[in-house]
Amino acid sequence: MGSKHYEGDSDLEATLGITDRVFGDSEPMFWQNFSFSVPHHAWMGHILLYRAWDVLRKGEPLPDDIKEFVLHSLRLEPPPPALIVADCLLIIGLVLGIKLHIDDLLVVDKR
Amino acid sequence: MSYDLLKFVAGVQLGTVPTGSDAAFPEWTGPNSIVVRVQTILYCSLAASLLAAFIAMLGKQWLNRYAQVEMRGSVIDRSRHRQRKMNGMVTWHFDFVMECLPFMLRAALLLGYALSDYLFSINRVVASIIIGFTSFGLLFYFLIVSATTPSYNCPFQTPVSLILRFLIRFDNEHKRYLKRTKKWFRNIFSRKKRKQTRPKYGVSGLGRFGKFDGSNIGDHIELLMAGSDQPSPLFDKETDWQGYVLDSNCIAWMFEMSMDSAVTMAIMRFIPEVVWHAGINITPLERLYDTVLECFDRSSGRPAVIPKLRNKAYLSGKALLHLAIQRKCIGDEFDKAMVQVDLQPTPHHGIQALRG
Repeated sequence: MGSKHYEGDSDLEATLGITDRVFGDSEPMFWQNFSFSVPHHAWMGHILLYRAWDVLRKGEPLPDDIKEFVLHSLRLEPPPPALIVADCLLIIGLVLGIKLHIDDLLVVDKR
Repeated sequence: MSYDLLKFVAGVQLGTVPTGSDAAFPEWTGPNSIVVRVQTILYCSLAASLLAAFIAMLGKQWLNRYAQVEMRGSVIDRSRHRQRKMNGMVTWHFDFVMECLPFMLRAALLLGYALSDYLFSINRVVASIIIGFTSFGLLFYFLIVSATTPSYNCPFQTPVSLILRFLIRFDNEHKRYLKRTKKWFRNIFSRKKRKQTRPKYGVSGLGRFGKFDGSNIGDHIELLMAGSDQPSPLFDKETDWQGYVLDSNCIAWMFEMSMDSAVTMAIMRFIPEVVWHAGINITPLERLYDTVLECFDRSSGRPAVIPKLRNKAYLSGKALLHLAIQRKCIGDEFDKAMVQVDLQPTPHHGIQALRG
């Protein structure tokens, strides 16, 4: 569903793309092609943190789409809002082996 | 009569044997047996009517309390309060209690039987009219019950037909369940008996409890509490699991009930604001999935979003993703957390169901 381009609607395309990946599709996501609205970007970071937590606790490798999302978000110029950066840093922390409590994921604004 | 009786008893006590008219034991001069029987039934009928009226008044009070709108607190607090009240209605089977009212009023129809019985001894023509009406009522009720017991869609449902349907079902599924429970209890008791017959010291073979040293085994096993093998939270924020359950139930209920497209869109916009987990039994997951699919045109082979439905596709897709991921992630953790908040977890129904 998400592999099709919806001009001017990155939010929709990214949502459908991640839906595809959650339901089993493994095509790469090219995050640099997206220009999210800030609320959508924040929500995406929040939901991908959940996914990263779930994948890593099962001992599986971090999916490429999450890795690319973190890199893309941290490379943005100007940098994204702090709550998105916080989510990205928590994903990095999970990769490094820092264990997070489930309650930490539920906190939307982690600043 | 009571005076004669006293005189008779006093005579016997004093040793003077009563003679003549005094010797006769006083006869019962009260109403005859028919009147007593009829009066009894009439009083039963009256009591049933009064009880029904009493419960009806209480029911009105309960409904008034339910309909009361909480004026204090935020919108979330008020919504949670309302949801809590609704959950209470379901948990305490409010509808069943209210359905007992007509049942009691039916008992009040004993009036017909009592009147028939009484009038039959006085005038059979008048009694036949009453008997006719009473029989017609009974026949009608019997027909309704026989029609509604096999057919759930029949609109003339009565509590009796519901109970009968339950009993019929009881024959098949519930008997198996009872059999399993009985077997389980039998196992428990036979295990207890085995424990009692064992020698007191130095017996092994108690599985994970290790070697039995003769000390008393408690009646309960302590459950592992959540967080025993987990890191402590980074953020100092208390997780309100019960609040999440209320919120999500409220949203799921609204989503289920609402057919209006604007309301549905508003609910889908709200779904990512709520925490969903596997313990929430009723979720709009399947309907969301259908809503996402509705937004696609598959006529040209590869599915593409219908342009005018882009907003709907975005909102439904976002809601679906949020709900599916959170339920998948928080599933196991919720089970542990429920031990703490004393709620009942339910089996996980996640994305796998949709994949199938």
